[in-house]
Amino acid sequence: MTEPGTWDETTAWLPTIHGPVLAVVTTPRQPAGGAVVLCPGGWHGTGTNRNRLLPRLARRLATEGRTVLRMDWHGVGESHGELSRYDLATPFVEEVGAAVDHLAAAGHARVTLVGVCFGANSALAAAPSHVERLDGVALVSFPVPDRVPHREREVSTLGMLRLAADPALLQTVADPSARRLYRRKLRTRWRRSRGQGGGPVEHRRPSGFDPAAMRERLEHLVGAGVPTLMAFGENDPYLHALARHRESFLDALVERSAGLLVLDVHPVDLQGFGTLAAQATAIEVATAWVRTASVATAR
Amino acid sequence: MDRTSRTSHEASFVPGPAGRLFVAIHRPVGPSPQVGVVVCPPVLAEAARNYRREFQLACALAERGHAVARFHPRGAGHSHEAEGVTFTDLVEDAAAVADHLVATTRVTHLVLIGTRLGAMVAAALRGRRHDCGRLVLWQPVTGGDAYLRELHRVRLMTHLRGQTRTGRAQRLDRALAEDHTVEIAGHALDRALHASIEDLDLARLLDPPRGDLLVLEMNGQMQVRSDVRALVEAWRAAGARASAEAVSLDEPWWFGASARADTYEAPTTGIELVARSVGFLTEREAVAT
Repeated sequence: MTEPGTWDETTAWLPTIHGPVLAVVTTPRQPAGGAVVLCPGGWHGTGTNRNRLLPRLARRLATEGRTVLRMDWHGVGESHGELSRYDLATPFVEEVGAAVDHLAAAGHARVTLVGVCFGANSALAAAPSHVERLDGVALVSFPVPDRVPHREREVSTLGMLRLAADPALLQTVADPSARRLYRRKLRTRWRRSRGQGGGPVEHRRPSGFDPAAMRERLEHLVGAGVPTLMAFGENDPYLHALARHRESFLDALVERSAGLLVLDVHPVDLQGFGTLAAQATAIEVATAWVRTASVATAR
Repeated sequence: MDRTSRTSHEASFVPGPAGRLFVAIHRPVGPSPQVGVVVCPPVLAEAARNYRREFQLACALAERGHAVARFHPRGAGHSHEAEGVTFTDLVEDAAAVADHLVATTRVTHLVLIGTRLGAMVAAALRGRRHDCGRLVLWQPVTGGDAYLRELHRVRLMTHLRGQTRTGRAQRLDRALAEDHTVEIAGHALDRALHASIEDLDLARLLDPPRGDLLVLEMNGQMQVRSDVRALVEAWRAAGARASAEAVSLDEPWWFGASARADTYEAPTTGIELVARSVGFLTEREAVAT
């Protein structure tokens, strides 16, 4: 828990084509660094992310002297506009730009972009338009584009049978949403055992969310000297895609970048930040990167 | 200001009983509103799931001349961090927001809306204030013990989905005897909150019946739970106006979109839920069907 006495928070409205978008700006009482824009993920009803991941990260960064802006995407939380689905092929570039502009107007000429999940996709898509203002970019649980089967994360069939024998689990059958989940799992297992599919699901890759765009953007950042972090969890479903890209170009780009582009894999399941451990890791990783990036840029 | 709907929407941090609270106020532009609405949100993952519905409800009510306050309780959302938050703390925060709404908009009557555990907060706040009229409850938690059993099931389900790897899930009370918090699908349930809600009973909180009550159940079966029906019957027997209706909104509170797709849905909006609530709160004669 961070100490409220070390920072203040205010709200602001960012103008966008969708209407005003809410930003919350955390300002350190003793500024000692640059500014940071936090780009939220897309599964949660607000820009706070699961279990207020982003307010916690913002306040942690503020205790280290950074001014931090977090926002609700349009149609989400307090922001105006409509949003029915998050499409990785349509990152929210304009909103990231509005956040960078807002901080620039407040006197922060340079910023670090930190994006999580869908927000990482938006941060990377927006970054090339702002390279001259960037201290760094951190992409946490970045949804790597590719057409590959997802890694099966579920428990084994034997493990499932063992769980089913647990009297405590039988209590959950009273819950309709639990029953639906169990029916779906059993149906999938049954189909798979009959050789009727039901295995790992293939991504459909829409245009615009493609490996070529990712490569181009990363090369642009490296070329412009912007320190960039791509952090993953060891159970993230994107690792298969990442492995392919490492072979085809990423490892070479990392080498060529001389430390500017860093790939990190952490021993948690970062995607969706579904556990407290994943959230703690994300906060640590992002905080450390902002610190590192600002030092690197200062040099 | 929203120029198309002639309403204003402000979001700010206001002083609360313990630290600053994030509060959003929606109000009509023009004549001063007479009725103020305080929206008491659910807690943990349910708060995010319901967020946009509450936002839409507030916009719709402001368009019809009401002032509406929504807020994040201490330790939740953008509000200041807090540990050991209890049910009483949640009610105190709601009370502070109600005071803020009255002070800033000069409304003379209050209406309370609460969802899930927030319904209990609204019911408890109604018992403290005499300026509260109508009460709307969305899928209310009717018993603290039943709610905690639901949370326990969610915890077991996350085990089944392989999201936690901490061995067999203990019962919540046993786990909380060992630790201050227990993890439920990436959220931390605090021992203090657990202890403060396990004996809560919505019927007791709503006693004595007073004013008008609308309970909206959200499920795909379009059914009203038996305990909610009994609650409504008790209000009617005491001469108060009360009704319970079901709206078709079959969305799990804790488990949302798949994590494994290139596109995923934003939380469902509740057009019917909002429309019925607005209808109830803006009609001159309360429904009593």
